[in-house]
Amino acid sequence: MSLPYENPKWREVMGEALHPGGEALSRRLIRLCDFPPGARILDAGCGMGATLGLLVEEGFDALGLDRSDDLLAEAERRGQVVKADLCQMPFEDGSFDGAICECVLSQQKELSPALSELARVLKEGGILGVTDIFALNRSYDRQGWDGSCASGARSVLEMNEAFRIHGFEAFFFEAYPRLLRECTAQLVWAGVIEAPLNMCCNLSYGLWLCQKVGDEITIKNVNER
Amino acid sequence: MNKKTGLGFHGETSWRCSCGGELAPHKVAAFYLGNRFEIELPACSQCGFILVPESLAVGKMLEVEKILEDK
Repeated sequence: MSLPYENPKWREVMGEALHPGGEALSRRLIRLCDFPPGARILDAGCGMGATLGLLVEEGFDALGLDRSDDLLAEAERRGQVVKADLCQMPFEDGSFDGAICECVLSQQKELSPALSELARVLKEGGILGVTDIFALNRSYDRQGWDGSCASGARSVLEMNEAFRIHGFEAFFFEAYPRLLRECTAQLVWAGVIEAPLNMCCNLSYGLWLCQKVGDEITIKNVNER
Repeated sequence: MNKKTGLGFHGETSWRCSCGGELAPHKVAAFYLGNRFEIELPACSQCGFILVPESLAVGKMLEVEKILEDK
C-alpha cells in the first residue's frame, strides 16, 4: 500500500517538508530543541529529508530514518539515512542525544511501540521535538483509524499522557491551527483530498518539546507497586 | 483538467469577452486570506478579464473558503 505522502501531488502541494508549516516550522522546531552543538540527532520519519538537510546544515551529526524507499532515495542526498520501522529501530539503547519526529506519530495506530523505541534510543535528558496534528474536542478512536494522519490525531491530553508513560516530560507546547487549515485548503484545491466535513474545527497542528526523564520500564514498575 | 499539472481545469466555452476578445486559457492565481491558489481559467486575450465559471465559484472555491474561514 502506498503512503499518502508518497503521492507526487501531495509533494507538489506540501513541498519537500511534506507537513504543515513546511521548512519554517521545521527550523523553529530545531531552534526550540536547542540541541548541543554537534549532537547526534535522529530524524524519525525523515521523509524526503528536508529537515535532515537542515540538521546537517546546522552542524549536527544527523541520521534520517524512514520506511519508504521512494522517499529515502531523495533523503539520502541530504544526509545519512537508514531504512527501518520506527517501532523496531536498528540502534543501540541511548544512541542519540536528541530526536525530531514530524507528522509521524499521528500515522501510528498505537503510540506505544513508537514512543517506546524513541525513549530507548534517546540518552537520558535527550530532547524529543515533535510536530503533529492533534484533536481539539475528541478522543482518539482506534476503530476509526485508517492510516491517515487525521484519523490518527490524539488530543493534547492523550499525547501528553503517552509521552509521560514512556518516560518523557512534555515541557513546551504550541498550537498552529491556521497552518493546518492552509495546508488542507491547498490539498483540497489541488484535488489531492476531498473537502473534510468539519475537520478543521476538530483538528489543529501542534509542536511539543519533551525531555527523556526516566527509563520507561522503571516508571511502569513504580506505577505497578 | 490540465493534463500537465493536474491541478486546474480548462473550461470549454463558446463565450466571448464583452470587449469582443477571444477567451483563451491562462494560468491565474487567486488569493484568499493570505493564501495563493493557482488555476487555469479562460481569460480575455485583449483586456485580461478572467471568467470564473459558476461551478468553480460555488464548488471548490467555496470549499476552500470555508476551510480557511473555519466555518
